[in-house]
Amino acid sequence: MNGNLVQQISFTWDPLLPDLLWVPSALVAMAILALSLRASVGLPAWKRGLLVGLRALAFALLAVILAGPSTLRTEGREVRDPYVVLIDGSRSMAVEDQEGTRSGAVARWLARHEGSFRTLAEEYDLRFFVAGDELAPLALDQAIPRDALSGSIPTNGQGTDLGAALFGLSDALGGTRPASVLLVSDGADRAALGRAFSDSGAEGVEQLSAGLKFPVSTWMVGDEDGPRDLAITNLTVPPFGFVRRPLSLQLEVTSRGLPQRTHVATLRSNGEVVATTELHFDEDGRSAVDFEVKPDEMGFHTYDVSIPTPEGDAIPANNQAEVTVKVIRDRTRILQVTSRPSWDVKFLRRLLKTDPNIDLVSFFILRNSERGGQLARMGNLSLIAFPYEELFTQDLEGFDLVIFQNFWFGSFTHYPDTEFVRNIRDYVSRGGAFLMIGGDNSFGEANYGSSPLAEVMPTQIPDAASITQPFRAVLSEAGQRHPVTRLVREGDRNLGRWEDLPLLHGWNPLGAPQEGGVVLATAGAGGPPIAAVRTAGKGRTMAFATDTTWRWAMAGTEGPGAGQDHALFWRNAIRWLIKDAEEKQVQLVLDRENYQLGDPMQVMVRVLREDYSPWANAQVVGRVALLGGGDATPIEGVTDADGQLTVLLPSTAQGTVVVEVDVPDVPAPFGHAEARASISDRQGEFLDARVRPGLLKALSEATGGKVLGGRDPDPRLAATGGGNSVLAVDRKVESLWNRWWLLVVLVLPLGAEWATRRRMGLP
Amino acid sequence: MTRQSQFSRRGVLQALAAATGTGTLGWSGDLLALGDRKVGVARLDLPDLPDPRPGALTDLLREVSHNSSISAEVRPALVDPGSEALFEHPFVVLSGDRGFEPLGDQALANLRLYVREGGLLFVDDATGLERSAFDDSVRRELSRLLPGTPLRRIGRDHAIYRSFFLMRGVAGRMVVQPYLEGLWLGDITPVLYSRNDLLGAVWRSSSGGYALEVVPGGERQRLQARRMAINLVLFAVTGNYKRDVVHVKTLLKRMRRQGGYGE
Repeated sequence: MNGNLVQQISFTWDPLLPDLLWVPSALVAMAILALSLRASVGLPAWKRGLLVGLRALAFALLAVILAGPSTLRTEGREVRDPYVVLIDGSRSMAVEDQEGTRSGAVARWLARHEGSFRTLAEEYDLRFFVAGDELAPLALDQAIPRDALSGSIPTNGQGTDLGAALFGLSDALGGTRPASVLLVSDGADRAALGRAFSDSGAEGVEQLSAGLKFPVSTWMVGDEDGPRDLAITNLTVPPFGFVRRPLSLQLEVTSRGLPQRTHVATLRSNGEVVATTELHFDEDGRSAVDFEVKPDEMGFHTYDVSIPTPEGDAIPANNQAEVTVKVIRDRTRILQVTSRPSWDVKFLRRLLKTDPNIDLVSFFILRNSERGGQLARMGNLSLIAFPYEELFTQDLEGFDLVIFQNFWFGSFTHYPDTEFVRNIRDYVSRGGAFLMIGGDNSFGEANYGSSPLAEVMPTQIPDAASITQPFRAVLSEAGQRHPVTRLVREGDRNLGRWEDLPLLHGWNPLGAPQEGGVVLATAGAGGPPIAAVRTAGKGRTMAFATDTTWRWAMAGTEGPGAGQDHALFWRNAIRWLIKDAEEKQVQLVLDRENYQLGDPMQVMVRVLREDYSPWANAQVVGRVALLGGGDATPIEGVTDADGQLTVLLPSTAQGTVVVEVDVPDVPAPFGHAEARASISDRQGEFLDARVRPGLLKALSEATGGKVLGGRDPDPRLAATGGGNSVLAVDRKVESLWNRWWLLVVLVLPLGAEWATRRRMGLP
Repeated sequence: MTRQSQFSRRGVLQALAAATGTGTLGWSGDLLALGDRKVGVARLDLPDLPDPRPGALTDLLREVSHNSSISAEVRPALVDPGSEALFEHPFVVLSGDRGFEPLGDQALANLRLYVREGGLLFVDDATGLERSAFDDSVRRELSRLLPGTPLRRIGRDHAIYRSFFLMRGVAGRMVVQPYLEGLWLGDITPVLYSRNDLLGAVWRSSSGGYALEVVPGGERQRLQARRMAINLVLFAVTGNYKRDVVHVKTLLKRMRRQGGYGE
């Protein structure tokens, strides 16, 4: 604390009467004056005036004495009022639109006015603050922020919140209210002040700044016409997408001050180009386009949009954006077609119909075109048209799985079905799933081995007749591990379960596995393959070369699991074919998939036992790291009684983050879970870095500050008041009512009134 | 598969069958029979209940093979409901013209499991009487089969009335009861009961003609009964397919509206 000891004397009031008595006393005085007027009726006017006037004067003097005139003697130290230079430290100040960056312009201004600041420092307690993510003082050297002069004003604030900075000044000054504030900013405020100005103009700013009890002068830096910028202002996706359903990504781009009128936006997924589109801008420099994608698999999909940086673009950083979408499965859509209904068809359809998550479209050929008995020829048939042209062309993509169950195109049409078969092959290559089940209209019996479909099937399909003998399905080595053939989790028990299955009857011969094809089961140990799977292109296929698994449904035995193997096997097969995720024992859930930089990420881990009951006190370890490297943040803890562990993590860097957790108590690979999210700054500074002079002007006018114009204003113009205040150390009040001369003054009009009455002969 | 490839293994065999006249049952279904892969029917073998219409099931299955795409095993099996063999046959028939003793515990347990696992039991009263000992026995056993699940009249919207032919009502050798009855498990009917001697209407004598007169409607009624019998087998194989298929258009429209199509 500096300043000399000083004494100040000021006048004040120290009332002798309680507040409640003032009004009654005034009424009494007025009543007395009224009676005096009445008693003096008949006297000449000047006499009446003199008498009543003297009495009124006496009452007035009495009132003054009762009000307690006093002196206030204050002793204290003289201090200089704070003069604050508040510099915007947000990232928009790094925009180059004014012979370099905006913060560079501030540094040059500080240097040019070093003398002015020295002068101000003599009159005021001169302080410099930078408003970044927090309000930070600039270190001073002989009243001047030397580092700032060298151009090192920090511009790392993720956002501009001028209101928060201004309201935080008093605290930053140790509780002292600044006398003057000079705000140096581009006005690109996206927080409360900016929103108030956008919504309600100057009136909104005035309302919001009403609590500021000091004048805020402003000087705007930045070019009113700039910056020249091409910016992705928005990239939005639905909260989640569905596998193989269209997913729309809406892109909004603005272009300011750039001569180039068209640009190309590229959408990538996992580094691969998914789509490109040309952007055309309207008169306001806005462009909006939709990208449509169809995610192939469940899980987290990150999409990245980028636009090449045009020449003159001041902010290249906002030409790229990414979002992450969680893709889940809608109701599974299955097309089941058969040329010849059979028990196997019936039992598979019955199974699919009982699953509430399946939309099943079945078409059965009930009457072959070549045949028809007497009754059928007589009509009255309750048949429906088989819309095969639509199903195998335009509708095909809508199904998650197509099942040919003993199905042959030739059984109902002479239409050149090559096109349809080729469509199914292409559908699989694009991510669809296809299952062929055996029968006398299937596999080699229908010449599928020489059709385009053979290209995606798991095995070769020989042109061979069906075998009709009974057999036992025996798991291959791969089949003992594969999820399709896993009726129970434990390998030994699973093998035993398969050995106990009822015999099957008859099969279609399959050839050697094709590239990527995996044989899961054979007809007897070491026999020909009867079940095989393959990932073909982006899709999956399965060949199951018999049509008597209905026997597994009619096991004829009571007890847990009896008759369930048919359902277990086909559900496994369908889930694998459509790439459905197994119900996991370790589940990892983020509160959302897209975070604004700085937002906390809520990570919830749920651990279930084998019977899917909550696993309390399970140890969880994991990490969060940016995709492609960077420091990892560890996750560690134990689950609560509900089998859950929730942690909050900071989002400190832009990009795709990968969250991984492991639960050692759960055997691999079931003890691992992974999730992804995108962290971006699209709502931050670079979304719209235009200067906002109107906002700064409104702030100055609302607080009684000044608007400093030009490129080089003198900071002394923002100084208000004398610059000094007394910081009180002692205060003393001395009453004046008990002074003798005051009593004399009071007695004089009363005495004069008495003497006048006597001379006039009045009582 | 181009048009040329229509001359497939299947097509060649069809042509061969037609050219040689092999089998009077149709072009291929039986020629290319895959044994147990065929759709067959079994008759429940009860010791005190002889088959009142021997051969009628064969006649019915021939009708099915003639008129539909189904490959039927025309030789019906005879199965003891108390044996595991019951579960080899997803469709069984109980027909009779007299009362029978209560089923044994094992037979009843098997049948209970059988209908729950997806089997279909069709009961045909061959007596042609409004009150019959067979009917009494059937109602007694069905009340034991699924206690608390009474026989209910089958409505006209049931899939059996449209599983192949579009039917406006029931038919049989007689019309004792103008409706079918059934036991329901959820939305499926694993037990169907006809009082109208349905199999009697399709039963042929060794000479090839029909064995029994159909009353009161004569051949017109027989035609309806034959259609009904074929519908019964198609229903056994396709279940509620025909009832559900009416929803397919709605489903496809919804799918198109939701997207995912190339149109």
